Amino acid sequence: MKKTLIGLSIATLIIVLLAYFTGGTDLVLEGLDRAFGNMKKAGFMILTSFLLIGQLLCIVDENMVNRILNNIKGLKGIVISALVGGLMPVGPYLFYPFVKMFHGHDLPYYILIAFIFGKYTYDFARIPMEISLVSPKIALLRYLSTLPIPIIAALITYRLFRNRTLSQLHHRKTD
Amino acid sequence: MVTTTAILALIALALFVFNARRTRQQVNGLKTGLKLLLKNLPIILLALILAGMVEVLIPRDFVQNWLSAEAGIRGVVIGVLGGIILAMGPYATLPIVSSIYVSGAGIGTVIALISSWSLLGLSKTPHEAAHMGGKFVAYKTVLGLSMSFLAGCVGLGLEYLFF
Repeated sequence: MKKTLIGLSIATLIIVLLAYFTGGTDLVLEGLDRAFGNMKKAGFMILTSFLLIGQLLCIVDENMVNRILNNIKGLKGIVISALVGGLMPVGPYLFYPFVKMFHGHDLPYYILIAFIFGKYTYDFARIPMEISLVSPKIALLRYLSTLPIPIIAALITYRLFRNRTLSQLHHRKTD
Repeated sequence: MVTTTAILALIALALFVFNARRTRQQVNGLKTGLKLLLKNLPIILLALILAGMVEVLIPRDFVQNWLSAEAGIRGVVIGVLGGIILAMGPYATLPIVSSIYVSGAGIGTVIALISSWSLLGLSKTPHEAAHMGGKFVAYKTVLGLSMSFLAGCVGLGLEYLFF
């Protein structure tokens, strides 16, 4: 978080300076004007989005996900796994330690890929942010275009690795 | 904008009622949401300023030739590559994506950008490599690249067909 803030501050400073040297104070003010216009337009929507995300975080927990993932296989398993992945409300710093927990389980690699691609493609907690910070039209089209992605990725993985688990693939040389 | 906000508010209310009946965590949900907002507010504000500057700085010719619907597959490829280097969280990335879209980028380009950022953004790689290993990262990268490209092409197709 701190790193993002520092990186973003530096990037903003650089781009403000670039605007100043390109078009002077007028261009900087025009950029700020657009920024504040967008803030005014999206402000209430951003607040609503966060209230929605807060409620969503109370519904989904890691135990629930663990229970579901350990009982599924096949095409139905791929779809459920992708949807459950989309419900995972955590960032990568918590997500991958959670995924690593499945190392010792008999969870097929293709189910894991559906889960990971579902998490990053669907990410239901991100929908309100995409709607409020980009546009409802783009959010809708983006979801429509990427809807089959976790399923296709999992089917390719199944074709390549069949029912092998993550642990089997990691210890292939010693098998 | 008002309709979308109303829909989001209705969903939030429905989840609030659901939590009140099932988990009794509705107040915690409100607190979590507000805490998250406060935590991310500086990032959102900075990203919106950055996005406003990008909007006025990005050359129209560049957008027209390289990112618009007319740029075709070229725009999708740039979108995929751009998404990988946007190594930031959603609150910082999405306003920047929005500014690129407002500047005239095509739907296919924007979809490729969001898809590759969410699947392959460089900020995730250290976590993936540390917990899942290099082989996994390599496999996911190849798969993610092709899937983001596919999503961008679908977006491009939708744009040609409907807009």
